[in-house]
Order: sequence, then C-alpha cells, then structure tokens
Amino acid sequence: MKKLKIGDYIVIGVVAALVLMLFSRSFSFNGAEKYFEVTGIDFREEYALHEDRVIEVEGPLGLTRVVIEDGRAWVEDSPCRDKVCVRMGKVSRPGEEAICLPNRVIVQMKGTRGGVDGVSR
Amino acid sequence: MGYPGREEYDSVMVRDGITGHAPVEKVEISRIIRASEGRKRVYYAAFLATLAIFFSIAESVIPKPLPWMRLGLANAITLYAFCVLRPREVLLVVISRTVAASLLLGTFLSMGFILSLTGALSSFSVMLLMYRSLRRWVSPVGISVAGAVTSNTAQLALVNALFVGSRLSLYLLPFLFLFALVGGIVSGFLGRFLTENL
Repeated sequence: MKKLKIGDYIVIGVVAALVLMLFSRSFSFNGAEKYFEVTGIDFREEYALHEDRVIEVEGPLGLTRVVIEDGRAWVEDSPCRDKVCVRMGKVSRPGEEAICLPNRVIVQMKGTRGGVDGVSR
Repeated sequence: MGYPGREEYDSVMVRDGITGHAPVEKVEISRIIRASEGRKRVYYAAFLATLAIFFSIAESVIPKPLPWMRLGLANAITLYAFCVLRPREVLLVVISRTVAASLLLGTFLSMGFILSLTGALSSFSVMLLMYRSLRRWVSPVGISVAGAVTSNTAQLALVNALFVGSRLSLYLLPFLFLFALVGGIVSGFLGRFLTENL
C-alpha cells in the first residue's frame, strides 16, 4: 500500500476542520439565549429560564398569575371564563406559548428554535 | 511512485487479456485501447457498474444509526473507473449503478433516489475535476473524501431548496461531514486497493 499524498492530508485536514467548526457552532447555538417573555397590556418583561418565580400580570379582567419553575412557565390562574390559557399547559421549548386572550396575557419562550423534532426511517 | 496514471492501468488491462493486445509501449497502449476497443470498454463499464450495484445493495443491508449515513462503497468503483475508462464512460457507470440499485431496492423515482442521483452526479463532477487536474498531488483517498463531502452537501442543499425554511442544515451538516470524512476515507482506500489489485 503506497503512502498518502500531500493533497490527501490537505483534503482530510480541511474536512476535519470543517467538521470541528460546524460542530462547535451548532452546539453553541443550543442552550444559549433562551428566556421567557411575559406580555400584558401595559407590561412586557423578560425572565431567565431557571429562576423560579410567580408573576402577577394586570389585565382588563384582573390579575393573571404566571409561574416559572424548573425552566418551564405556565399560567396558574386567570380571571377569564374559559381558562384556555391554563389548559395550554407548560411552556418548555422555544416558540411555545400560553396565551390568555380575554386578559391579554402572553407567556412565551423566546430563543433559537432549534434541533430536530424526530427522525423517520 | 504514488498512484499510477491511466497509462499504467491500460497496460495492466492489456496484460490481463481484456483487450487481447500484447503490451506495447506505454504511451501507445492507451491510444490503442481508446481507438479500437470501444466494445470491450463498454463491457468493462458494465462490469464495473455491476460491481458498484453490488456494493450499493450490500451497503444498504448494514444497519445505520442515521438514515443518511452511508459508507459510499460504490464510490470506490467510480474511483477505479476513472483510472481505466473515459470520463463519459465513468458517467455511464455512475448513472446506471444509481438507477439499477434504486430499482433493486425499490426506491426508483422516490425522494431517496433523486437525492442519491444528485449526490452521485455532483460527486462525479468534483472527482472528475480533481482526478484530471490534481492527480499528481492527490491519491484516490483524497479524491474520495472530496467527492463524499460534495455529495452530502449537494443533497442537503437540495433538501433545503425543496423544503424551504428548514433550519435542519445547521444541525445536520457537521454530522454529514463527519460521515463523509469517514466513509470517504474507507471507500478511498477500497478504491485504491481496487486500482492496485483488480
């Protein structure tokens, strides 16, 4: 078996460098720049993912209680009629949201919407 | 020295009785084959396509963690074909093995087939360019890696063009390149083994 030529090392080196660069880039995208945004009628605030807290947002109908816990956020209680916002469940991924239309409150997770939902074979 | 050129292979073919000619001078031989042995070259192309189909099918049996992961062993045949055939005959080998393998695997005209044809044609172009211009500095291993990377990039570009707005590429690209690197090296060594022993 003859030895590899210089061009082989260049090609392999360039590709390996590309692999490393792309890996580091696509992994630094994960986990960074995610936060909750809670929006009311005269209210707009950003909250860190992992600081547990309870937020009360004033709306036309009264106070909507939003809870952030373990990196998830949800509407605990709202003075609206149907409680759709409460049943929207917990917001845990970028792009997800829980919205109370009657009381004009939006709970959203912001950040890069990334990753793969699933793989089909 | 390094990786023998087309002429040396042509003389190997002569000795093996593929053309029936006695080995003459190196420079002359390739011309003889090119001028008068068209039909035998076609037979040889068909033989290589058959080998490539075998590799494609055999490879599809190997279980893979991700569906895009391929070793690209059929690429080794393309590498070898560059040494013994004219570019347009290599193209024939590439296209016929892609079509025939997809017919056998039942993926003909499906998305997978379109992707593999895209990959095969793009890597053929890049490998042809590299073989013609950089052969002195690059052995089949390097050419194979470049071809594998091209093939994967072209397929991902096609997917992104068809499914607009998918941000999949950012996350998939490093994995694809890693597979291309590994598969390219493996099939490159296989290709070189073939060029030296077949």
